[in-house]
Amino acid sequence: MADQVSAGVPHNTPVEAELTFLAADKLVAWLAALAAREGDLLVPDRQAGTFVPWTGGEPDLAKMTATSAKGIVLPQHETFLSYAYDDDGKVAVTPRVADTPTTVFGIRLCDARGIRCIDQTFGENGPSGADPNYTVRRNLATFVAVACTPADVDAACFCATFGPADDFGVADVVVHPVDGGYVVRPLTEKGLAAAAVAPVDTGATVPEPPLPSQGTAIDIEGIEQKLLAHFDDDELWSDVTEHCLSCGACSFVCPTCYCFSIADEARGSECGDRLRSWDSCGFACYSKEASGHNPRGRNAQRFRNRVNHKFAYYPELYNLESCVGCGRCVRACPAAVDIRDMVEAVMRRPAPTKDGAKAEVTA
Amino acid sequence: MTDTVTMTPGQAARAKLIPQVGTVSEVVPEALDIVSVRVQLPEMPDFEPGQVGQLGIFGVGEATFVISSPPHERGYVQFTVARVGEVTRAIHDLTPGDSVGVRAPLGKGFPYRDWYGKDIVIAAGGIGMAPLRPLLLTLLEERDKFGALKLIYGAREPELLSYGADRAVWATLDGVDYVETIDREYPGWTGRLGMVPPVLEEEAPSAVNAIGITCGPPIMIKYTLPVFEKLGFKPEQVVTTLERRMKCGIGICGRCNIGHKYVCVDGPVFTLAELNELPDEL
Amino acid sequence: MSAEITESQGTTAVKDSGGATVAVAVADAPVMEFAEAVALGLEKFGVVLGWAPGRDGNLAPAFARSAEQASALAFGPSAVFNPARYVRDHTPCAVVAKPCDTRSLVQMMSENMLDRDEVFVIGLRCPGVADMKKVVERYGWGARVEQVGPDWLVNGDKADKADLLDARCRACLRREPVIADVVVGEPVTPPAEAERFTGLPESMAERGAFWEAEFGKCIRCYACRNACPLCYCQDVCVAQARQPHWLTDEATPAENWMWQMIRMAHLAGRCTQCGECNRACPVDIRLDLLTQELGDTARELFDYEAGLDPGQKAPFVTYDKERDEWPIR
Repeated sequence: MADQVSAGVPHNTPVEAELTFLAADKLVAWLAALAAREGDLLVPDRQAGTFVPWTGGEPDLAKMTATSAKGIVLPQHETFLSYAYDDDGKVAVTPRVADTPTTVFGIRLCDARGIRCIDQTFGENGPSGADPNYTVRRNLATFVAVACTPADVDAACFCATFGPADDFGVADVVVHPVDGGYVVRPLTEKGLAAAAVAPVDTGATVPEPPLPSQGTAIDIEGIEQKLLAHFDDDELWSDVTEHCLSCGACSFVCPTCYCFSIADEARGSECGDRLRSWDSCGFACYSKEASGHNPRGRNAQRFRNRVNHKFAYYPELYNLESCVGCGRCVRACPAAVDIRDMVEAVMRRPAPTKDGAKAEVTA
Repeated sequence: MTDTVTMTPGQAARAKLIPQVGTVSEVVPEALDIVSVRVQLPEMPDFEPGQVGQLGIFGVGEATFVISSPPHERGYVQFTVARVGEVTRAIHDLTPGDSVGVRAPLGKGFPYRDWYGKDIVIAAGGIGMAPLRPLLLTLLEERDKFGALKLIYGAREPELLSYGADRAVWATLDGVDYVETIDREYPGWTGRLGMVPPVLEEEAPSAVNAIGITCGPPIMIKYTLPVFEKLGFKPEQVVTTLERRMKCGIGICGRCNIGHKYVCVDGPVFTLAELNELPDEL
Repeated sequence: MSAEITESQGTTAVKDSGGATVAVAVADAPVMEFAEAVALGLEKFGVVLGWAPGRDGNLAPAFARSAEQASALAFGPSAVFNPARYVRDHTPCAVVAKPCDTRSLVQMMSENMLDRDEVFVIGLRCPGVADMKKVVERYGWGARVEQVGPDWLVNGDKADKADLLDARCRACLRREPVIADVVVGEPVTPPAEAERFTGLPESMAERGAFWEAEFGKCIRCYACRNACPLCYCQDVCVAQARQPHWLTDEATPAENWMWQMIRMAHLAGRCTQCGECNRACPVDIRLDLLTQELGDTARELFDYEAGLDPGQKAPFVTYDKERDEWPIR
């Protein structure tokens, strides 16, 4: 793993650390200290709906950005190799990887839990072992999460479905808003390094931070079995997804969605790049085969796959739902599709019988 | 947001999206709009029959193809490619000496060593012969370890039957019962008529101590699997290899899944028993 | 533009200050109650496309196939979705449509994407709908907007209707459906003036920075395209094409701008300013400014307004060598 980490950037190792108190008027100074470190410092920009380089001033730490923080480790597009043909037609390939440390200040806990979900696929336990492009960005990133207060939660949030309020995901530091300032909680070695440059008030008594606020919890007890049992229930899937437009808004704003496509881009006749970019299982051509056959040609089939992936397949593989209940998909959807409606429709179906639910493939 | 630099050799070795650069050694026309491309690689991989690879042309793209040469034919890997789109069109224009990118082997091959002592029945349709050729050639290489070998190979028309040289050999080999068939009457064709599923049913191979393997267009697989069942083959005895739209080939881009399994990693070879455990999404 | 509105025999003609007719609403269909109209549509085609209350009490797109489902259909300030978008996958069908939605239907007919006899149009007289993004901003996600009498209520309390009125409704003089089999609702007096979408910087230098920032936000989700009733190409769209290859998948300002310019160019002369692309965008890119420009240009250059007359063809799909504007003879 040594050469996957830039020299001097600590790893994601968890630590037990003391909580400290940062006065509210010292927040900007902390950001300035973080910005002075090697690499980039990003803060939320609600206008832009994402995280942007800090250019000074108080950061906007209220509510969540329209898109998630997953772009830090899995950017919308990423060139992973460049190629060049020589005059004899032989090609040389240059594999590419990120190398800029990035501190992201002001992600939410749902972002931090979302990155934990994506870690499963792209990390060492994933289907093909650690993906270097992902793990390098992951190791170069320091995530400072801000705990939600009641004002930050809205009716689209349903994060309590997936875990307790003090599940900090893979945050390196959690910053809890309290009276007069923030309680700073380092959670990893990287977090310790980030907290070390915060002008905390070492003399102050550190107040006990409140539990982060959460959204609602919807019932998903036994949903994995129900989803598989009712896979062929065409009516279930056609009904609830009829207004879906098959765009990619939900997938792209989602903190846990990671599907990507790969394309070559010639930059002239002799050289170019191969890059991966975000893709969505909602798009009609997502699964379309070269022969023209499309196993998910109908929107209902695509949506069935989406919900099954999040609530059945991921739990089967990693004991973790691929959803953190942030509600971004609910807010982003232009067609009023609410994944909770689908989950509840499935939950209303009966549980499978003892001898299993799967009909035989008669082909 | 972050700029990129060149990977270290260690990173590159672990980067399963980075192909080896290989050289085309031969392009063999197989059938109408189907060629086999042989590629020499600096590091020839070990592989099992049924495993696949990504063959790509830099600047055009990559696509997944089964390795259609058997492991014991050293010196190159072969991919049999039908001309259906942008990447395959460019592959059809390759000539010996051209540079290509290869990522192989990917996926799981046929577990043929579990089949020692058994009779093997292969039902192949059209380009579905591509994964079954390396399997059959591997079985023939260890012929005495297996029981009866039957191959049924059919296509819509004679022009769509690949591997002419191999077929000529199989037709004469004692150790293979080779049945060739065309869907319906065709000028100049004096051989068997019938689609693969009904021909398989007519041939009625015994299911006792046998393995049935099929590959072809989805519709052919759909109708062949029930024939094996009708002949008494249990789901554990029936094997197929699936096609899926693939991009990464290493199980992380998400799209080739059936249920929680990825066709590029857990397949493309599956038994019917395994498929029965998965959602019906062929 | 300012307008003189005249009503006669159930039609509403909108003329600009020069006396030219800029909009014509045809309402010679029978007027009836909503429930009656929906029942008629259900009887005729077995499915009615419209809106029904969703999870948070606000209206969501709905497809009623039974009397029970049809009884849930409703209209109100949260009926912001354009049901014409769904018509192409549901014909033959009945559809409840606001005036702006009926323009989409007419444009689809003009382009031969829809036959008149495969859709039963329940045309609504419309006082305008709410800007639901503004509602969320002011009151939080899930705030319920409804019309009670002449008032708009948010979470049960009277709200400032003028403030919450969607900008696209402020830009619209149309209060009658353009096409209808039956008409529902009381006549609504349109405003004297149509407000324009604002926010575009005056100077060209500032505009460059403005659009670069806007298109820096784009994530290429194609919600704009997929929400548009006239973007039929969907996944065989130029955005996915490799041959010819106009766009990469890289969501950079330059590529994103190119994507949207191609889309707008394909809509030139066809776009009816229904506003769905602008509403659909999850990162709030000012697509309304672009669709407004499309409408302005079609009017200025060709004296043409899309989606009013199914018999008329859009300017860029017709070649009329007699027209002075055409540089090619």
